[in-house]
Amino acid sequence: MADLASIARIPGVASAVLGDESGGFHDAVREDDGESVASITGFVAAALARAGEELGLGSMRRIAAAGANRGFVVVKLGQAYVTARVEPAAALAAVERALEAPAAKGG
Amino acid sequence: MPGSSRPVDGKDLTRLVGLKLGNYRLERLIGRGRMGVVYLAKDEALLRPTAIKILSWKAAEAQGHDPVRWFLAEARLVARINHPRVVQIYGAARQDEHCYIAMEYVVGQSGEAMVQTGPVAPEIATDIVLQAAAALHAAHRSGVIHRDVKPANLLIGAGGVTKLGDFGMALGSAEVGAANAHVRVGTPYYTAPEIWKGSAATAASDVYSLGATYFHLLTGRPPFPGPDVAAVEQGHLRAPPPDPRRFVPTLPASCAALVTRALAKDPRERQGSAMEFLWGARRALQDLAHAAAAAAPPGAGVPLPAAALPGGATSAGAPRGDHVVPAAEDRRGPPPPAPEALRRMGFARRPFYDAAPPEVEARWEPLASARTRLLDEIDLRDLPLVALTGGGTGLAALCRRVADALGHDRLSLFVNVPAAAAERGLVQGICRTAGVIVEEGTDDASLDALVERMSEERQHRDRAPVLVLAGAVVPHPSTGGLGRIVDAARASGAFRIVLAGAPGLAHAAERCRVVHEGARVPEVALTPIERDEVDAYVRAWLDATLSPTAPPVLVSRDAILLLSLRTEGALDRIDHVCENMLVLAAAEQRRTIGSWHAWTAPDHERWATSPPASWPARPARWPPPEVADVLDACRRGAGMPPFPRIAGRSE
Repeated sequence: MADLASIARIPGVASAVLGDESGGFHDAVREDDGESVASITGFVAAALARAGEELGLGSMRRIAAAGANRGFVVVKLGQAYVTARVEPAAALAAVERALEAPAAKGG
Repeated sequence: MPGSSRPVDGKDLTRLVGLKLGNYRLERLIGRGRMGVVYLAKDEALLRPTAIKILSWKAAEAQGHDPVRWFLAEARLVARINHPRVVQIYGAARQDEHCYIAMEYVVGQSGEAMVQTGPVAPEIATDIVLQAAAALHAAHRSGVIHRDVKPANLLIGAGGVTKLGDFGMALGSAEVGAANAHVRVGTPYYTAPEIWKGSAATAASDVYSLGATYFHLLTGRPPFPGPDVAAVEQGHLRAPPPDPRRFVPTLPASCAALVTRALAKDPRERQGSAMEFLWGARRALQDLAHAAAAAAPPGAGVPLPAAALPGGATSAGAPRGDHVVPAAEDRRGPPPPAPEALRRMGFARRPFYDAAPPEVEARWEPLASARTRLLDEIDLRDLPLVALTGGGTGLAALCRRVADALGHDRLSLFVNVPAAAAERGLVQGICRTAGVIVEEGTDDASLDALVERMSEERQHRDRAPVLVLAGAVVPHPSTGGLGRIVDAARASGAFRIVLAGAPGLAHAAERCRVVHEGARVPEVALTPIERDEVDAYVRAWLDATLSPTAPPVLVSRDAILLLSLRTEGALDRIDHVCENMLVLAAAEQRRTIGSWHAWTAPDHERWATSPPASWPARPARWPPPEVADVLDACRRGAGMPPFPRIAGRSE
């Protein structure tokens, strides 16, 4: 299981939610509605994983989305998904780089 | 009528034209028989044509009867059979030396006259005997055995309306009494074997005569012709029932089966009643209509049987396409208005509200598999009765859904069997559900009308309608009524019955003789709805009701777990709670349905057309400990870790 607390300490990460590919909710840090976040992550990850296969990206590792105010990064850690809310959105690239290390450790 | 003195017959009963008997002026001799003559007369009071039957005194005395008593008995006998297909008696009287009966005059011809020119078209012949069977059943219900059913006694009027006449031979079954019960009467070509052997005439022997009449109409020859009475007798006693398809190869099997069963040597092997014969005739009519439709060019429509035609035109006389069945209508009304909140979420139609759309049932395993198994039993094996069983609180709702699922391509009626229904209550209740209103409120009339309605439906949609009787317990106060309904379904082939109840129902139905002895009742067992099936059901509903461009609605796993727990897999409750969950989410302008919605949504009513005055408000922190404990229990059952406790943890 990923160390959610260490991910939540990365600068720019406002909250983190641990879920699975079926949308199941397992843990959260600084997130009031982890259940909804895990549901959305499960749906988005499943859809984009299929799209990634079509595009020839190989197995999915990370999804990033950014808006004007905030961004989200979804990282696959084994069978789990971690969804990190990033604020401000400009910090997204730095968070992605920082996530590579625990992601690599987690497998 | 005064008591009998001993007048003699007039010089010639056939030369009475112009004579006035009561209000009736005799105009024309139209028939003569063993017991007298029949005149067409004019009722000078009511100005209507009337048939006047005048007794031959000599003939009556030759048979050892008191002529007046005999004549009066016939009039009373027929008068007490109140049925539109029995020739009506207007009155009976004696004037001078003439005893006469005034009867309804049927403008048309007899079956005998029709068959003199050759075989009658099968659909017309079947329609004629169908109507005769209705009349015969009414007579039997009144305790009257006709004893002389034959083509000559079937009077076919305008529009194919057929009436059964001449009950003169029936007297042995009523007022004349048992002393004459074993006298062989009737016409040799149509007389049942047991009568030839000297047994008493029964309803079954009338059914035999009707079968022989049907054979004659269909083929143009009686079933056992012969050079003399002895040869005919031997045919009835020993020859196997002939197959009418030897003479008319294009006849449907159901026509042949109707004839050969009615002509069984053993009365117990014939149709159990004239009503059962009637149902068989309805089935034959359906098959004839199907055959006609198959032979018709595309789009020509399916001709209706003569009995169903408006204005009384016979199907044979109607030009093709004049009377066609309209395309099956969509019987579902317009959907109820959806709340604005749901519309904003992109629902093309209201979810979880009415019968599940086909997309849901096709993809949802419990319904799809039950429907498939039922249809296999119903259509492929052509069985009248199938049991649908299961346990638990969700069974009734699941049965209802199966009934709905069956209703996509056929008429499917769902009837709750009341626990204390009387026999009559069951039949009448089914008729009301089917929209069958019968003026004559007897079970016989109701069943007949039900069969007629189902036959029409079967013809329109080319699928046998299904009657789902839910909550049935066997034995039941109405087990007898149920047996009669099953008999009607079996004999007519017009509809099928699904008996829904607890496991073991099929065996109980066999044991209680709801079906004929030795007949098997297949049982389709429904399994309880599992949690993942609830999930699949909800997702299928959402997919089916969202517009193509709408973003998805997500339902969290915890919401599904709570939904399963709260509703115990009962479909009606799942529908209610799900719809209320959606309305709650829509009010929050959220597309993700979570455990809060599943916990908060009421299950006793839907927020149907208008939102409540005040929406429940989501708490600042969810779930509270007591709900988390419930979720933990649900998650344990699903093999998931406990719901995370994040309250108070900042990192």
